[in-house]
Amino acid sequence: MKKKIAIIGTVGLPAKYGGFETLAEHLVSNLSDQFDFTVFCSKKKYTKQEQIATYKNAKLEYINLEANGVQSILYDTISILKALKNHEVLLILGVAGAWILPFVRWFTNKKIIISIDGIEWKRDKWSFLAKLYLWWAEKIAVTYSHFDISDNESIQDYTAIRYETLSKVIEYGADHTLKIDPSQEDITKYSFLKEDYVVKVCRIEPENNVKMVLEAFAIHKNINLVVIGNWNNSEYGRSLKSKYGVFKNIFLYDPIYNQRDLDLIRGNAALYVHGHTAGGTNPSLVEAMFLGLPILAFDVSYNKTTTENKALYFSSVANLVGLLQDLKVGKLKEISQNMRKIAKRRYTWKIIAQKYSLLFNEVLAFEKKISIYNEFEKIDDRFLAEIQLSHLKNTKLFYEKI
Amino acid sequence: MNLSFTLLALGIATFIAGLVIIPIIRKTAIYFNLVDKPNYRKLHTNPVPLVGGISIAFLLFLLLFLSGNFVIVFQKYMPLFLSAFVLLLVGVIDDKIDLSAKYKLVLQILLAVLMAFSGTRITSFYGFFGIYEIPIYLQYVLTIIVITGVVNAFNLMDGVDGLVGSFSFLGFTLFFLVSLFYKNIEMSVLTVVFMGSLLSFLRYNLSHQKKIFMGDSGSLFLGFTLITLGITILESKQNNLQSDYSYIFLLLVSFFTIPVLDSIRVYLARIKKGNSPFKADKSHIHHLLLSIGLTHKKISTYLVLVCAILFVVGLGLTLYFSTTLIVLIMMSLFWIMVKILLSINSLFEWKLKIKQIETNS
Repeated sequence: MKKKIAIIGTVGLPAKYGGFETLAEHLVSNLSDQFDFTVFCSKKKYTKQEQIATYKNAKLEYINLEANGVQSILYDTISILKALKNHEVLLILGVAGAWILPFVRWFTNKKIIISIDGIEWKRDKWSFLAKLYLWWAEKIAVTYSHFDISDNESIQDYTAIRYETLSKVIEYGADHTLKIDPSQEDITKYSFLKEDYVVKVCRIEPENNVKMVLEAFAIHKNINLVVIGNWNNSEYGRSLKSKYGVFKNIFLYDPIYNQRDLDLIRGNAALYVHGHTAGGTNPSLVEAMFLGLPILAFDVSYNKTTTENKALYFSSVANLVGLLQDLKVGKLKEISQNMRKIAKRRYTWKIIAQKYSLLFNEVLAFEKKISIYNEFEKIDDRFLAEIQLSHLKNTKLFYEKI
Repeated sequence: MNLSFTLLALGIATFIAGLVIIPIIRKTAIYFNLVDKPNYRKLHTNPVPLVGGISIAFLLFLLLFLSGNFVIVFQKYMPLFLSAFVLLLVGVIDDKIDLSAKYKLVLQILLAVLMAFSGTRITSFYGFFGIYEIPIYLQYVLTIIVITGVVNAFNLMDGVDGLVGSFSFLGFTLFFLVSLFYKNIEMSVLTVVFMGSLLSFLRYNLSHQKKIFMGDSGSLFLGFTLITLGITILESKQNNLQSDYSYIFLLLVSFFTIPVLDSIRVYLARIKKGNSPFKADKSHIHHLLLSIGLTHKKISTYLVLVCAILFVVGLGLTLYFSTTLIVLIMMSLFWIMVKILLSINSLFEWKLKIKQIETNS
């Protein structure tokens, strides 16, 4: 009998949207022979014709609510309640519905795995009330789940310090991205393809340091910069677009929904600039790594752990300009090879799916959340001293890195 | 009509006298160096005279004396007056040379014992948890605990401008209304003078140029006066009806809920951390409100409003629910409020910690 697993908290399958949806898609296609999956989908995002009963052997269930924003609280909650009926494991992506987990733990014996998805509560895109809710929901999520997943080691450090529990680190895969060679037609469409260019693909928000990057390229005009993002979504985006769009070496594009064009533009860049500061491993960064692009990333712990400290890091405009001026072909080649190597070792969907498969089996076998503390600490001091093993208590925790 | 006019005039006269006299007391205090010097726990940066208590007490004497009410009021509330003034004096000494919290506590207990023996005792639970009359030894114990607890709570509450002042103003106003209702003239006179003097105190407490603080003298003095007056009203023979009892009981509970529960919470948290319960820190409700970015004036206004709303809503609910239930609801509301404030606070703290984690590795 295959164990039944519910995947909750994504917009749904087939994946059209962000990181969690892509993850669900790859879990379903890699692990369907081991587990029976049900994926909860938002009715709002799929038309009548698109609403199918099964996809890649996974059952799809539709909820008539938005999967994001305020409605996500209800969306996740209803999904969780529905999933209780006939699933052994609930894989919950995101903490919005976590408030109900204490009740699930008290009244059922379902196994709960929750991915806390970066450090959502500190992100500027949320209102203060939303931050407060997410802050509290994260605590409930970690406390009342059997396992919690961090997508980055720095987040594991954070949960270890805040909750004194050991989070499982599972990142994202990137091997769905393709490298496409430009045709003559492409070059006429995107003139910058003729020369070397730097690329950045992101939501146009302050937390992605868009302004810092644009400013640096307004100073360092020797190389072209291509930024793809939702410029018209906010005042921030519009003002940046009108201010920096006039520079000859800066190309600003609205979001490109044609996957081939996006892959084409990303894959052929000479350099990838990653300004994200939000917590966690960013799918766009691992995708760029998989494409073997040399990476210039903003200097925060998440980006450094994702790239294993082997990329280039900037923290200010001057800093970034300095790095751009000093670029050497040999160094770029080395970074590019390293990034590709890391991505192949860590960020393929096969490996990610394997980690999830292990986790599902583990959660079915174990009851308790893992503490960060050494088991020896529970043993009486005098007893350990007697058998001359007192040193077993002297442990340093993994987040005390220095 | 005539009586309320006289009382109103007395209140206004006290207020005006306060406006004139407090600056003089303030200057004298600067001369004697009775000022609060800034330190890491304090929220202000210039030395400020600690003369709130002295000013209010002085105005009280002066106005009772001038209006010819001194003898009747003093006679009726002699033990209260004597004890409150002892506390005022000790408070002044404390303001000047910082007494140990233990001495202060012993003194508060002694004065509470004195009050209990002089006849101001809580003799009943007034139906709370279905309990009415309680045995005599419990009356003493409960009275002593309640008086000491409230005095301490008021003392601890004095952390932002206007809080103890406006809270006490609300308390005396409520007592004033009760005294009018029961035609207790001595109490009306006493409370209206307090109201006038507190308003004039607030005028300077909330000003920038001529600021004064309540001081320990003031918070101890006011806390003691309020709780003993409260017990006196509760035990007054004039209110025979059971419903009267529960109204007044509810009034006292809603008025004292915020300061008392908050001080208990802070003490317990300190003990839990392994510290002495008297080790000062920044964990009181007004500190929590400060750190979410409210101004002193707003904090005082909000807390006083919450207290007033608790009372009015509680009073309305007596028509439908038992006092026990209402009191429990009030306490849970306070608990929820504090929980939310605490999580906002830890969110702010973690924002800083996260910054460190992000840049350290």
